[in-house]
Amino acid sequence: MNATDDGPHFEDFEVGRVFTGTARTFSADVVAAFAEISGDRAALHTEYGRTRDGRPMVHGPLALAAFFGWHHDLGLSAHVEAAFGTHWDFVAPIHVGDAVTYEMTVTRARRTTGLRSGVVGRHVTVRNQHGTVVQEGRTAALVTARHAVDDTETRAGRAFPTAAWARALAERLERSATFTSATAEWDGTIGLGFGNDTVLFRVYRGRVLECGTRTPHPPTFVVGASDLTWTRLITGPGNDFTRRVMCDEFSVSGSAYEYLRSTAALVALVDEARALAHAGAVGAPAETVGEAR
Amino acid sequence: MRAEYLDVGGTRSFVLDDGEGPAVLCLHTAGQNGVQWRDTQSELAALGYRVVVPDLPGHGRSEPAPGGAVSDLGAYAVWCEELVDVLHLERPFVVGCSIGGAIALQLAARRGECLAGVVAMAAHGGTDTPGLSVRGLRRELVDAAAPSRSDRTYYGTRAVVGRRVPAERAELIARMHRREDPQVSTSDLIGWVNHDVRDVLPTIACRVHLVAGEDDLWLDVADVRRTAEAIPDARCTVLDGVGHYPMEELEQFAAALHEWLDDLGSRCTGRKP
Repeated sequence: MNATDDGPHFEDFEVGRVFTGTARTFSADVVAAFAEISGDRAALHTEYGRTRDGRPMVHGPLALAAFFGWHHDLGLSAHVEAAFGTHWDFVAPIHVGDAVTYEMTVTRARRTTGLRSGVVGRHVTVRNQHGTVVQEGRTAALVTARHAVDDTETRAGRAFPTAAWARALAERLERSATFTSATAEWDGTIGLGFGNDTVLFRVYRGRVLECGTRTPHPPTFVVGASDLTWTRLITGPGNDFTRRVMCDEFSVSGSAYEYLRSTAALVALVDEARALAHAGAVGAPAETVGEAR
Repeated sequence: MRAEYLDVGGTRSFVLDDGEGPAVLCLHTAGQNGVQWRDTQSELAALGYRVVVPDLPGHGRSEPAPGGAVSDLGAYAVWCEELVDVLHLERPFVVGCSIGGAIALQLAARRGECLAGVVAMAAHGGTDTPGLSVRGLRRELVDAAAPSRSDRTYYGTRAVVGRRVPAERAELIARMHRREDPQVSTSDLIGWVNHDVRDVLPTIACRVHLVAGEDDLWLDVADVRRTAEAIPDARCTVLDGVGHYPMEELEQFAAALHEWLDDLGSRCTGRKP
């Protein structure tokens, strides 16, 4: 990894980077201990489960807590100052004896205004020994920066959905022959939804008049997806926007007609967002990087 | 190669006919036409087959069906039966892709005993989760409500061409697919969504080989496998890195098809006529 020996700083968590490690098995002892600590001694977790062999079910929050243990074991927590918003879905049961793996993708990285640290957004996929996804989560961490410098502009390429990223993309869109010709007869506002955040691009005849989080009129449409989908789309190996749309990874609100009408414009926009991300890459390759100690 | 305009089912229909030997009827995908078989036809004919490539009514050089755009794949199957009779094709093989594959399965269900065998690609016998809705497709039939149709066909085709296909080839396939009549394509897709021969699959009286591309987003390979399991002695092949259009995506497709046909033919030997 790019990090120095004392563990990764904010700058090392580049958006698009993927961390994996060894599996974690939840033994009966560990589950019993968690039942004691949490007080959740429900029979489901202590006596029997729903499996044919009657194995108790692992507490969902235990697998969540174990993510932070995994994070520490990998040496990734050395400069973590705090954990922020953590949202977890329990997708399928985990039973005593199951071995889970964690896959963490960096989906956001924003330096704080004080410059000495940054907030890193991560998507976590938890799979069991059969490869079945059992949990999915999003969690943010405040991480100390190696250098307290204002690198907003140089890091803008992968800083979606920040204002700096939107400005950098807007500049590229105005220079893109594909985007300007696809929107040459268009007047409206394209919204891009990243989870709960929306970035707007006010477009008039191929020009981007304004970008940011608010425009006088509401967006013509908003095309939205999870941070993970955007990260994979923008930093991954190819522009597979249409494939992801066909697989229902994106949702649309506002005018569905204008959204469809903007098909070519959106493909061009993603092309530019990808070029921006790769032009501004600070080191790690765009594809999956496996990390293990 | 012989090019003919034939009267089939009340439609002036364009047919390309090449080679001598066991007849192979090749059916194209929704909204497209026989040009999808341009690489396959002569190469397969050279391997000893009579390869017949029609443009279905309303597609390519064929005039529209008398009743307008067809939204029932069964109607295409009836049209194919008449084509087989008009051309005096004796126990032909039928090879189709997407709606062509579904039509081939309908033909197998209707008159399997008259066929040498069927290769149904990118198709299944029916599904409860078609991915498209008839309601949405009906909306698409209103031209003014179907913006950027050509762009969507282009990018949609790019998205369902397999990973193994070189970018230049994928680009060509997608650009060719733009040449469609949206009314006809959308009606074809309504036919695709409503296609369901699951009840009669166990009664199919010819050998069937189902072929699916691993990267095909238009269907669930599990539906293809279920179809193969329901048809007596059917085979199922899943092509790695291939999408929805094997005959356009695979460079040596004619050779692969020859092997499949050979297998269907040899497995037919010894069966009661």
